[in-house]
Amino acid sequence: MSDLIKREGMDLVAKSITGWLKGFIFLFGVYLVLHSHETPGGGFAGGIIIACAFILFTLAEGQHAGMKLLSKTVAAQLASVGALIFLAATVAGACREGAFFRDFLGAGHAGIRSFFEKNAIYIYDLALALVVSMLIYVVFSVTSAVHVTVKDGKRRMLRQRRS
Amino acid sequence: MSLFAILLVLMIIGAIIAIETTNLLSSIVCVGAVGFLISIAFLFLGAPDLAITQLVVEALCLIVLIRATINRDLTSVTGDREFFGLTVTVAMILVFLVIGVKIFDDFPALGQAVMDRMANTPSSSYLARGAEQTGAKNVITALILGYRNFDALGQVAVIFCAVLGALAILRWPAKKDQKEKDSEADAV
Repeated sequence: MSDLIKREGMDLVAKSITGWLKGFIFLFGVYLVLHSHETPGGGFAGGIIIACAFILFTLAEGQHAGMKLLSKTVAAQLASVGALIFLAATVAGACREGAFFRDFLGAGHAGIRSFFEKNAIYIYDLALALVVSMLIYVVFSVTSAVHVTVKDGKRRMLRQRRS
Repeated sequence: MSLFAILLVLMIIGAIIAIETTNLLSSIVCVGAVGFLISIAFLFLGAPDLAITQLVVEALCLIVLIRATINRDLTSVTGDREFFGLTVTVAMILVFLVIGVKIFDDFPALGQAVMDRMANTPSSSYLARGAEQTGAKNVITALILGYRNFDALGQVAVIFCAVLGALAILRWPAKKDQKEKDSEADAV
């Protein structure tokens, strides 16, 4: 177990490929989130792909580098911000249009909106992506510190000890 | 239709191997194969949204499962199954098989939407006027974040509570452990 702790992350090949790929994966997630009006995908799938970029980085570079890039606390706080944005958009619909979940940005619904002409779905989508990506990352970073092992003939769940 | 039959047979084979094998890594790989086959089936049924989500979630689950279960101490599982659990499982599978056969008699053909069979359902008006009413060309987004936004709010709340629970249970270092360790260190 001791050499596992010393050797932080994976080998050189995985690290350099991750260095190339992580930006593109992140960008693809952002693309899916921003274009959920037109293309399949949307906040949930895009958010998970964004989380996958962070998870790939954490797997390749090791727990410490991953936590330095985006720590568990910051991720949980960002997720809370996303949930609050979702709630605020809901309440804003109630305040401005008179009903919960009513589109508070669009003045009526004239037709299909273009990319730069936003309505409330866009806000909901961004908030959902923020919540999902950060919470999935938190789940990964919590569960990756846990592993199942055999002790006294029984399977147990243990936390991996950090040096 | 034959494509779906092949996919289904492959899925069933993968699931059986995942249950029966003793090697943990091959079991997880088989679970992943079942998920990817489901994703392909979604794609051919015309649900790219679901296919993307299924694919991504499957990959993520595989990573977490492999990370949590595979290490040098534990690569295979041995031991018998409990008799009671096995009987209950088989009984439930039989019950669901009977119910499923009953339901499949009433089902439309594979790939045909259920809502097409009735004239004045809300879903047909969603399909017809969703784009102009919500401003989203993608009907799935118009449904999830437009008409059925309350569901999305509930989804956010569920994910949030689940992760808060996981954080509270798997917190490292646990507060109690930390205290004990400190007192032990003092004693030494």
